Amino acid sequence: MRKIVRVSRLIKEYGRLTNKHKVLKEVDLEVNEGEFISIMGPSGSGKTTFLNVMSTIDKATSGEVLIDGKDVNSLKENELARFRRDVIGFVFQDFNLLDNMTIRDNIALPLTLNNEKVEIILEKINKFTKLLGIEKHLDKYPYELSGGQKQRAAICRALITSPKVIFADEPTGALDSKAAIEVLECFVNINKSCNTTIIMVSHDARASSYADRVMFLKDGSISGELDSNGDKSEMFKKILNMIAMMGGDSDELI
Amino acid sequence: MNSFKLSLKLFKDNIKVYKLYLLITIVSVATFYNFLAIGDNEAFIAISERFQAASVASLSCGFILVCTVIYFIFNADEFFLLNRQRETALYMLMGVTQSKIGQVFAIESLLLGATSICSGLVFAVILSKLFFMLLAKSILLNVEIPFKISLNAIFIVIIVFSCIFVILGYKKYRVVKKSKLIDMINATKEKEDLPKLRCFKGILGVLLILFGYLVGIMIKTWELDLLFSSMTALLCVSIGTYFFFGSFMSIVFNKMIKNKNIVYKNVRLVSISNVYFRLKGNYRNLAMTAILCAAAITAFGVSLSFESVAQKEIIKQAPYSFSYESNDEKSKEKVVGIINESNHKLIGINENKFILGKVDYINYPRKVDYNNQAIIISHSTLKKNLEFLNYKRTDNIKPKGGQAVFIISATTLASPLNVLKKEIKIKNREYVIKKQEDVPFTGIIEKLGKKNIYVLGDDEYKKVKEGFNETSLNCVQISKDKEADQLISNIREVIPKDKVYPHINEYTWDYYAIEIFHFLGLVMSIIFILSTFSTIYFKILKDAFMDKEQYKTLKKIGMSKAQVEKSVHVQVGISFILPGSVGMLHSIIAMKMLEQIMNFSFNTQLVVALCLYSITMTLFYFFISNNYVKMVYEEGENNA
Repeated sequence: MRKIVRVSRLIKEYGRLTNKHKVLKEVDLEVNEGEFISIMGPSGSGKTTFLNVMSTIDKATSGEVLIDGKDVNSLKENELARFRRDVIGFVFQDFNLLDNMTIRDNIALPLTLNNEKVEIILEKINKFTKLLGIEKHLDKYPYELSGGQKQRAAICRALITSPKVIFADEPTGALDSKAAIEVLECFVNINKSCNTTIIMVSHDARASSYADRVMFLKDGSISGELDSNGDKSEMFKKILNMIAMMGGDSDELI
Repeated sequence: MNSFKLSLKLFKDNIKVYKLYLLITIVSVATFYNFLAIGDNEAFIAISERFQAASVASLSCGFILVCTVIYFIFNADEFFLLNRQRETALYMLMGVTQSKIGQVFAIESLLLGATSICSGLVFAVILSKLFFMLLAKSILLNVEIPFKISLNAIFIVIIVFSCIFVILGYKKYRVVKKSKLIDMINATKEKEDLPKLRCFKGILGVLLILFGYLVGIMIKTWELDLLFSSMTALLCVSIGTYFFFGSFMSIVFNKMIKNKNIVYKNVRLVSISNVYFRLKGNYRNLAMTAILCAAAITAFGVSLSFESVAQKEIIKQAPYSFSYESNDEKSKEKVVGIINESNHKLIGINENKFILGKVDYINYPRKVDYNNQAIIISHSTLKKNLEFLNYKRTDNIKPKGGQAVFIISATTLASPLNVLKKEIKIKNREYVIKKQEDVPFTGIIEKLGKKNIYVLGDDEYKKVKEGFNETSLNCVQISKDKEADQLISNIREVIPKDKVYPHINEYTWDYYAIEIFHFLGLVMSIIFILSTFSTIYFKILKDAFMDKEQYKTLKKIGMSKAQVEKSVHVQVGISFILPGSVGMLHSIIAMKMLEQIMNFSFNTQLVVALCLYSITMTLFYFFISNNYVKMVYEEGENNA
C-alpha cells in the first residue's frame, strides 16, 4: 500500500545552546493511504509537538517528514500556505471556527482562498455537510451550535479541499462523551467513504479505540503500537492493557 | 511600592508606547494655547470688536479642538487598556485589589496628562512666536503683532486639559475596577454581537443625508434663512451619517454576505465578515470620522479661498483712492487743482450720477434694503464706471425695458440673499430683477456703502429720475493713495467735510479678519485631519489586536502572507477609506453651499483641498495597513 506520510529520524528540540530540551528523539512513523491512526501518550510525551511538526505548523530540528512524497521542511512560506490548503486539513481541540462567519462561510473559507468557483463551493458544502449531518445548521453562527456540531463543522472545513491527510489534535478533548462519539463516528465515516487518511492525537483510550492503529509515545519516542481488528471494545481493552504495561498513570489516559 | 511610585515606573517603562499619543496631545495643547492667545492679543481684539464672527470662529475652533482631543484620548485609552489586559489580570492574580490597579492606571494617565500639559505649554510659547509671525505674514500687512505670553491663556489651558485628563483618568479607574478577571484573561476572545438590521433607520439615514444636501444646495433658490438652513443641513447630514453607518451599511454588508457570488472570492469573505461584525461597535467612529473629515476639508478649502476672497473684497470695498460728493462744477475744478498741486499724480476721475430712492418689493416680505433706501443708477453709468476701474466682466448685464439688475451693498461680506426674478416697484413702475451681481461701485463709505444698488436701463432710469435730485459721486484715482492724508484735508477745505470719502482704511479690517480666518482655518484643519487619522489609527489597531487569534487560525488553514496582507488592505480600506470618502462628499456639498452664500467660486480650492486630503489619507492608509499586518501576522507567528 502507498505510504502517504513518512517520518524518519525526527528530532525536535526546544531552548537554546546550554538549555536544550529534546521533545522528540528520532521518531519514525509510516502511515498508509486511507489509514486512521491515533497517537497516544501521557502529558509531556511530545504527542502534540509530533503532530505540529508533521502537519507543518512547527518545524523539525532535524529529520524528514514526507507528506504525499513532499518534504515539508523544505517548503517556502508561500508554498507552505498552498500546501496547507491543498494537501492537508486540520481539526483542533477548540474547533477554531471564526465567530464572525456563518457555518457555511466557515466551511467555504479554504475554497474561497483557492479562488474556487462559487457553484463548486456550494455543491461541495452540500455534499460534505450531508455526510457529517450538519446540513440544517449552515446559516447559523458558531455560537448557536453545540460543541459536537461545531467540531463536525470544523471537520467539514478540513475536508472541503479534499485533503490527502487530516490532522486532528485532541478533537474530542472539549466534548462530552456523546458528542465525542458522534465526532469519532464522523471520522470513521469519512475515513471509509472518502478514503482520507486521518492522524489523530488523543489521550482518551475510548477515542483511540476507533482508530485502525494506535501508536504510543513516551518521553519523545514511540514505545508501542497496536492494530485493531475492527472490534472497538476489544481494542479499548487492548489499549488499557498497553497503558498499564507502559507503567503510565492509567487514570490520566482514560 | 505605593500606587504613585508604581505608576511612575510604569509610565517610564511605557513611554515608547505612548510616543504618538504624547505627540498628539502636546500639539493639541500648544495649538489650543495659541488660539486662546490670539483672543488675548490687542490686534485681534480690535478686529473682534468689529467682527463678532472672528471671535466666534476662534472660540469654536478651540471648542472643536478640545472635542477632538477628548475623542482621541478616549480611543487611545481604550487601545492601551486592551493591550494591557493581561498585565491587569496578572496583578489581580497576584492579589492586588482592582481599585488599586485602577488607581495605578489613573495616576499613570494623570502623569501622561501632566507631561502633555507641561511640554505642550513650553512648546506652545516657543510656537507662539512662530504662530504670530506666520499670522502677520499671512495678513500681508506691516502690522507688528506684539509677542507676549498670555497668562490668561495658560490658565485656561491648564484648567481645560486638567479636567479632560482627570475625567478620563477617573473613567479608566472605573473600567478597571469593574472589570472581571475572566474577561481580562480572555482579552481577545471577547465576543461581539451581530449588528441588528434596521431597514427604517438605514433608509432614513440616506434620506436625511440627501435632504441635508438639498437644503445646502438650494439655500439660494428656496430663499432659506442662513442660520436656519445651515443648522438644518448640519443636523440632517450629521444624524444621517450616523444612521448611514449604523444601519444602512449593515444592511448593505448583510446583503453582500448573503450573496455568495460576491464574497466567495479570494480574501473577500474574511475582510467583509470582519468589517460587518465590527460594525455595531464601530459605526459611531466611522460616522464621527466622516463628519470630522468633512469639517476639515471644508475648513481647509475655505481657508485657502479666503486669500482670493480677500483680493476680491478689496476692489469691492475700496475701489477708488478717494471719492467725494459734489454737483458743483467749480468745486470739481478746485479739487483737480489741489491734486495737481500736490505730489500725487492724478490718474483719473469718474463721475457717477444716481438717485437715492425707495424700492418696494411686491410679494416679498423680507427686508432687503437698509433704511429702505437704495441707490438707483443707469446701466451706462455702471458700464462707464467699470471701464474706469478696468473691471472686466464677460457676461452681459444690460437690463432691458422692464428689468433691473441688483448689486448687493459693499459692506455685505456674505449673504444668501436671493432676489432673482423678484418683482419690484420704483416710483410706481414695475421691474423684474434679472440678475444679481457683485461688482464694485461705491466702496465702503459712510451712508452710501450700506445701500444696495439697482441698475435700470438708460431709458427707464430717465423716467424714474424725474422729480429726484441726482447725487453725484466723483471717484478719483491717484498715485500713492495710501499717503493722501494731507491731500484729503486740503480738499476738505473746498468740499463739505462729510462729503469727502478718503481712501478707506477700514477695508483693511475686513481684509485682516478674512486673513485671520484663512490662517486659523489652515492650522485648524491640519490639526483636525491629523488627530482624526491618529484616532482611527488607534481604533483600527484595537481591531487588529482582537483579530490576532482569528488570523492565527486562518494561517493554520493555509492563508499565505500575501493573502493576509490583501485581506487587511480590504478591511482597513473599508473602515478607513469609506468614512473618508463620505467625508469628502459632505465637504463638496458644504463648499457648494458656501459658494452660494459668499458669491464666490471655490472650485480650485476644493480640488486642491481634496487632493491634499487624499494624499494624506493614502499615506495613513498604508501606514495603518502595514502595522495591522505586522500585528496579526508577524506577532502572531511567535505563538502560532
